[in-house]
Amino acid sequence: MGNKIKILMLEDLLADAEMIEYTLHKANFNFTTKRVETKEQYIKSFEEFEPDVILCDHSLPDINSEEALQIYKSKKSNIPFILVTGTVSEEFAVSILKLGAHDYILKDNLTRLPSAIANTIKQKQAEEDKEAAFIALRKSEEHFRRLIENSTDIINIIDKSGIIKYSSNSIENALGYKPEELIGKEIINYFHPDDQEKIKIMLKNSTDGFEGVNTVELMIRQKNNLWKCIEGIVKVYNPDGKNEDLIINSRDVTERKKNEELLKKQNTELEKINSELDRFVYSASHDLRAPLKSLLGLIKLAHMDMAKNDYGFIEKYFTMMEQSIEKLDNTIKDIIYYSRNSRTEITKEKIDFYELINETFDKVRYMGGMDEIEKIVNINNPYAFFSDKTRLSIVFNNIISNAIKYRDIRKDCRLVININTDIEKALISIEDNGIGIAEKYIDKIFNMFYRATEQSEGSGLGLYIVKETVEKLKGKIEVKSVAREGTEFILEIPSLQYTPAKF
Amino acid sequence: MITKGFELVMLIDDSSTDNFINERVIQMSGFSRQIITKDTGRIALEYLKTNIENSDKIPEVIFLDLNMPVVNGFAFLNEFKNLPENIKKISKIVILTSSEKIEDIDAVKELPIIMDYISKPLSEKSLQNLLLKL
Repeated sequence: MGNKIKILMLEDLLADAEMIEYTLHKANFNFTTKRVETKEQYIKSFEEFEPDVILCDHSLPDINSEEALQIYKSKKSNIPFILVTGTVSEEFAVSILKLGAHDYILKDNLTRLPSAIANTIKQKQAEEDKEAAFIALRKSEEHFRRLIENSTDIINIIDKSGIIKYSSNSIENALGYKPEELIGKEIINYFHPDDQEKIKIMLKNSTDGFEGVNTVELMIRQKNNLWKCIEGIVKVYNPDGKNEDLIINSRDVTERKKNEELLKKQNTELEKINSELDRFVYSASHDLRAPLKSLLGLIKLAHMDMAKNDYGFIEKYFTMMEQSIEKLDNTIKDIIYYSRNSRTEITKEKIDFYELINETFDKVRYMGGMDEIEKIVNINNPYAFFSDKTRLSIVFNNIISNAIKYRDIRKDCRLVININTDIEKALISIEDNGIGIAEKYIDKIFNMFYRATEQSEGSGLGLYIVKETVEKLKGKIEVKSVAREGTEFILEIPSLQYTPAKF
Repeated sequence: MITKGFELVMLIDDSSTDNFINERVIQMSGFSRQIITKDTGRIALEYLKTNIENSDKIPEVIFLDLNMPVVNGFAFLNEFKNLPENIKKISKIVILTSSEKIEDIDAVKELPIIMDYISKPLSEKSLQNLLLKL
């Protein structure tokens, strides 16, 4: 005790007070005293002096020890109250102790006083510590209980045979069961039949003295009979060393599982895209190099002929060189359209179909055969039609090029274009009487690099681009064909009249 | 100029330009006196089947492009294997292609009916080398 003990003495005889002080000094007590004689002084000292101990004489002029004790009790003080008095009867001593005094000391035997004070102070301290510990424990319990109840995790304790002994409150929020409903039930009944094996293994593992932690993923039945995916961490729970229960800490992983599934799907798609890209790069580079090799061959021939002064074939060589270069250029354009279509914005403009078709006819004139084809164009466009002109050009260009490429030279070649618009959309039909497409190939013609006929000199990208472009415009495309009779492409393109200018 | 060439060879390629070029090169080099060109594997097979009895109509060398639509070079080879012996004895197949796929080249080199593999375009030099092998 480093601090001075403050002693309040209720004593009217100065000599007695000095005697008490002398005794305490001899015992090496560290203290200060205040002596009061009257009731009023006594009461005042409680507040002002704040004593640690009260030494009370039995009788004073205006107050006796019983009264002093009452006042002490009324102040709800718990400091040691020791009666220090002259001879009193045994009964009186007992009664004063019963009233609440901690001890009594006879004035002619003051040697016991120091230890009496020390002991009562120690006792008081011990009681205060006990009280504090009790409060701390209660707070701690409260804290942990709140932690468990506020946790979204579910905590269960089951015994070795799988009977539920405890369930945290959070189980109600998570699964709909009140903890009371579950106590005593077998946990295995709440799990999916497919998972029953997992549970049995888990229970067995734990009872075999497995020391670590088991993680299981299971489907659990909620109160409303729907299934939820739960991940549980299982540990042996042995708080008092007697029975071996299991404590299971579980959480809802439905969200996580959904995300895992999504990720898997995205991965598969990515792999698909990657392999498509590989195929594309191979085919594209091949299609780019082939015309160049032809070009090289023609140039070599030209060299050889000119070295012999033979100019007979030169004209033909140049024509074929031009064709190779056109082919190369078109493949490159196709690749650019293909890449651009997915990424550039759609622009909205009013479409003049006559203009569009005439431009297309001009563009494909180089292909040869244009003049041999009878072209019939019917346009019925009462409402202004809005769309992306560039993209529509690509669609028309590719389909009409095909009609020319695959015309049947044994017939009178014909190309019929019908366009009808209403306020919402345009219906476009492009029909030829060419070589047609065999039924077994019709589904595949829109695939990348697919060529359905041996007459094909194209890259195989044309219709793929058409389909992607139509889809980008949020339209639909359909093909009807009979081999050797002809092919019809039917498109439905929505009008962008009421959409913003760029999207 | 090649002195001892063949009587009849066949070119199979879907590109008319390439057929023209190869035909010209063969003509100018003297590799073969007669040249037949076919656009598709199917038409080439039909020709061979039609002339089964007529051995001087069967080409001694068939230059085959691998990369053709619908019936590509591989499909032609599969069908060719099933043709009667007298045709297979006469016709030697040479792959003429711009295919760079390793798998294609390896697959081709294994087949016993393939004589050689030449990159497009044909040249007098590659024809001379071929002659040495044949």
